Amino acid sequence: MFTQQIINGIVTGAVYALLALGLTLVFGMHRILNFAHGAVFMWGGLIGYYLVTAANFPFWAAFVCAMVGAGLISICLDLLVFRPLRRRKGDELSTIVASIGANLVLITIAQQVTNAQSLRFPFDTFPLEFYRAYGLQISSLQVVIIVTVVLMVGGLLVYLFKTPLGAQVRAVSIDEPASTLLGVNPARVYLQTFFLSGMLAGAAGAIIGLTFNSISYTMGESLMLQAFVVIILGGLGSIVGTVAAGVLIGMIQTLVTAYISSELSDAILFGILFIVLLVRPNGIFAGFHVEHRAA
Amino acid sequence: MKLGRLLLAVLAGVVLVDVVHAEEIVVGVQIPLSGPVAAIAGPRARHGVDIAVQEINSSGMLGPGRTIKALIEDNAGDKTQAITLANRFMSSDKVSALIGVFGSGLSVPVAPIANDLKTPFLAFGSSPGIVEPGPWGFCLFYQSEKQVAITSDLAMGRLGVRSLAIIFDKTNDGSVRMKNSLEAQVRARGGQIVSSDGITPTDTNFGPLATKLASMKFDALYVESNPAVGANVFVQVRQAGVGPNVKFLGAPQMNSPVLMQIGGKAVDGMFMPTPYHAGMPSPENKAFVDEFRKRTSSDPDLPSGGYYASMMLIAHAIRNAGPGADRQKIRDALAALKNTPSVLGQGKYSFDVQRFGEYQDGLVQIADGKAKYVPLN
Repeated sequence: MFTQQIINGIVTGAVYALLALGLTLVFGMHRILNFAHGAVFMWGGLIGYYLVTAANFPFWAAFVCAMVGAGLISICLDLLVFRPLRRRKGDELSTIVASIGANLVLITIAQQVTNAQSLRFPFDTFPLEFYRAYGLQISSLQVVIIVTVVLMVGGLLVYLFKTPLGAQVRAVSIDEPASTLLGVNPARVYLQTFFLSGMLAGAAGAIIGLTFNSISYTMGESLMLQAFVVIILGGLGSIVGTVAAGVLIGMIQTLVTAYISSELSDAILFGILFIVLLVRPNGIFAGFHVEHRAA
Repeated sequence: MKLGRLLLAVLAGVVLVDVVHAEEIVVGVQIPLSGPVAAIAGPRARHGVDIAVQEINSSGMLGPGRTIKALIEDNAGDKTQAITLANRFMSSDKVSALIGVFGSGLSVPVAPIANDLKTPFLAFGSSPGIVEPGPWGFCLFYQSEKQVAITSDLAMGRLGVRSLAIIFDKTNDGSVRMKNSLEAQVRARGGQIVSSDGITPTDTNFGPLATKLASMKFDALYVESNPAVGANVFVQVRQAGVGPNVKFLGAPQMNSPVLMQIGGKAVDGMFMPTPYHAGMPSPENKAFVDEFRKRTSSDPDLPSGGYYASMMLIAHAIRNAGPGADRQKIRDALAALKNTPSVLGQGKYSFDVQRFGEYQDGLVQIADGKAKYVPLN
């Protein structure tokens, strides 16, 4: 059972990482702690669900549209909430409060749209097969999750560090006025970052909705708590650290549930967070950056 | 001209007399129309209340000139909001009674307020914490222990279960009490509890728990949670490899179409005791089901049936208390209800001396994606 639980933990952690990546990306690049990220994630799940059920999209197409749709919602957040605050020189606290407000608006709209019902993808949405060997079991969905997360993290790193657009993003994160003098348009860079962040959240929403058999307007709230733990342990703004912390937390939660008590899993998780912050205030993986992070 | 004035005066007098005799009794209704349990309780419970009010007023059940009005508010499934609303209902809105709130977890904090403000409170719950603060609190359902006895009888008697795994909602006082009581009863009858795990209503990833259960040997899994979460647990437990030889049992509150929508084939064969099912045989229930289907094109479930029953029981108490009855008289009339026609159970409803509901439960078994009513005996 131990190895099986390790596999479960890696899959769970990969999903946490996917959700947390968008959060840490926006924070790492622009120092914006976006509390509405969970709502964007939830909308990714809803867009995927409605495209599959109402428009008969195959899951892969709905997944792509969910990513794009969530990316566009994230752009709207920047245009309507964060950009006006930047223009008025709003501080970090006002940005956080504004994002909490935006989160509530997005959740309330979803509540009206779904009539407060929990939804699920139809049972035949994804051909669920189980591969069994040596007493272990892994489902086709779990394989897809791992592959998706690996591809997305790889793609994100390539985008940020191997493309001119990624160079612009990093330039703005290091010194926005200087990058403007070099011809970079910061407003467009912010839109790019928010779009990427929303796409990652949308991907996580669609995958989690399918994997955990549930989509509801509240689905972002509980997972955002895990996502914050992930980005803090991973070192705020670190992409590699976020993935490592996500997998670590997924495994801790899984093993605690399996071998100690499901009732203690949150207490133990947050206890670990507390101890880690005492010892390493910048997170376990701070300094383990293969990528650039804004100072 | 004089004749016209005379007629006008007579007409005004009639209207005045009517106004004097008209009595609108306001009942406060709390429903979680938003928040984490809204998907289970919200709109369906509201339909139950609306149908009851329409039936009470159109039938003239309360007597000439007397009508009932439901003041429905959303407590969002939140204790603080439930308390604030209860205070407002009883102090500002001057309701004659309060029903609903939904679940023991929300109802227990409201019960002391109902006692302080001396307002009859018929809770959609089964916890002793609702009746213990004083004489104004009533539980719509059996005591938890009695409900659990039905489950343990079903499991260890009819289904021959010897070992049981339990998953319960660790955030709900009533759910924890039911779990403790079930553990004690199963052990007392020589059965074994192989595992007992707490979850929360916002959990969606039950993979680790399911894998743990798949590595254990037991006869049945009992889930004490709401239908959406419970169904998800059963789906993931089956996916983890727990075979069809393991029987699934659920708490009464899982009796909802949501269970089948989310659970699909995984919940086929599952049993749960229930105070209410659309297939229950009483004439009152048949009429209610017909009206509910007309409005929603679906069958009523426990929240809709329970809220409808609550409103009708309060109406019976108001009628029995007589015109102009104050809260004390309505409370006394409610406590005195015996063998009152109801959609719950087999059609007759009473309160016991501790003010818990008395009726005969039924069973529900899921077969081919449908919840089928099975008489208990």
